[in-house]
Amino acid sequence: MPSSASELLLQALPQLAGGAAQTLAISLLGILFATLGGVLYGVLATLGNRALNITLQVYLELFRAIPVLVWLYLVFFGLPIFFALSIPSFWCAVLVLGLWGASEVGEVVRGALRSLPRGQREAGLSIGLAGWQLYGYVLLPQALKRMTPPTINIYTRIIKTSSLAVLIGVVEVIKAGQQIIERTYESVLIYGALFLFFFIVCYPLSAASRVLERRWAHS
Amino acid sequence: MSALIEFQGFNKFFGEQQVLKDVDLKVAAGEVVVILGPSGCGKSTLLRCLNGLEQAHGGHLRLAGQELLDPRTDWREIRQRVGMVFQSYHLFGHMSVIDNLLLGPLKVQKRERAEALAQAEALLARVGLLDKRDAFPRQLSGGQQQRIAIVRSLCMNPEVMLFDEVTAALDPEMVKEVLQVIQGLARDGMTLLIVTHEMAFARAVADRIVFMEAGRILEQGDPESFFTQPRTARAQQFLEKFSFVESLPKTLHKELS
Repeated sequence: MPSSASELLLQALPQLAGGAAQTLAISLLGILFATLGGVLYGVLATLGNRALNITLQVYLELFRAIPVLVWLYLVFFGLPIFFALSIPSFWCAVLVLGLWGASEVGEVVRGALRSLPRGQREAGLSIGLAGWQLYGYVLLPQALKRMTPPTINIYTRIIKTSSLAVLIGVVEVIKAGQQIIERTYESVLIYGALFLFFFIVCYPLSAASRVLERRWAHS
Repeated sequence: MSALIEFQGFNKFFGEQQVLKDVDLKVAAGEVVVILGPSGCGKSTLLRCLNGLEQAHGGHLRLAGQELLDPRTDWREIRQRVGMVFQSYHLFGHMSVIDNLLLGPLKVQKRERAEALAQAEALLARVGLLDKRDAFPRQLSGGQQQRIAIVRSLCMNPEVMLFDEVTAALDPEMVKEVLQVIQGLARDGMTLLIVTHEMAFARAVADRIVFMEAGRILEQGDPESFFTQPRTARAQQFLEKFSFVESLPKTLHKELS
């Protein structure tokens, strides 16, 4: 048995690092899909198409009403049963986090786009911009300031929620920690390390969100 | 002379409410037409239909003989030929003045940057704002922003310009600088459709006045006869409201406590 805490941590480090890599990989991919999907959602939701709006509303409510954990189980256990489609647990987690995050980011993007004066859209159209140019050059760049701080907060929630992936068998950072605890019974030390890990990853993000919010509040 | 713009039996609804009723209006190339009428009479809607910002519901609308109410109409192409300036300027706030001006020429018309830039700077100089080339809209006064908005439309080399109450949001001292720019365009022989509440300006700049009420054109004619002897009672009442303020008698016998 290792004699001191530092020695134990040193021994546990490779295993924890492996878990941390999984957590970060799931989170980053989830954030990537949430961002792309969220922008797409926000744009589609502001086109003023009724059928599209109803579809997006249903999607949003499904992810608001049903816990992420249930979605994980549904995708991981449900897809093989109902669609004979088996996805590795890592990608199940990415998919669910991405879809859930996209609904959250999408609402932020929609709100930011809607808060722009209506005249911006008309002025863009009146010089002959195509729809995608209107969003790309005029609307989204102006919505960016309003949507960035809340979107960063959603990113931290995605990172924290990624720990649920442990329940479908992904060995992410918490599972790695639990395995070490089972071997060494050093729960306080390991959970302390996990606490530090999440704090170091998430705190800079929420701090950045706050700084940006304050800086852009005046412009 | 064949008309450049032609509304014929033109109808437009907002839900159940008919806002344009059987409008017939022909505008020749190079003509300056000022549309007058009380608020809500449909004059702004008429302009917005010509730019495809509102959907028409019946009749005909032709630009240089081309039917615009055809569902196959490419509005992006039409909007390059029909420039529009709005009441509250709507400059793109995240772009400098010069980027506002170049967006359409570069991205829509795919023109050479050097050529588009030269034109934009020449037009800026013409409206007296070349020194604001790199400023952002929020750093400019309303009158300056509106002149930039006019230049933004002009940079597309349109055949027609639509002005929708472009001085209504401006402080009085800034109205003049904007109206001078519009009058300059009229002098150059550009086709202009102007909606305004500046009666003196309408009289000075218009080749023809169109008076609308409740979605219909009640009368039209040259500005001198319209302002001196309007044919309809409604136009007469409308003009009286504007002259009322000018001829308001001085308040006398005020009680000072």
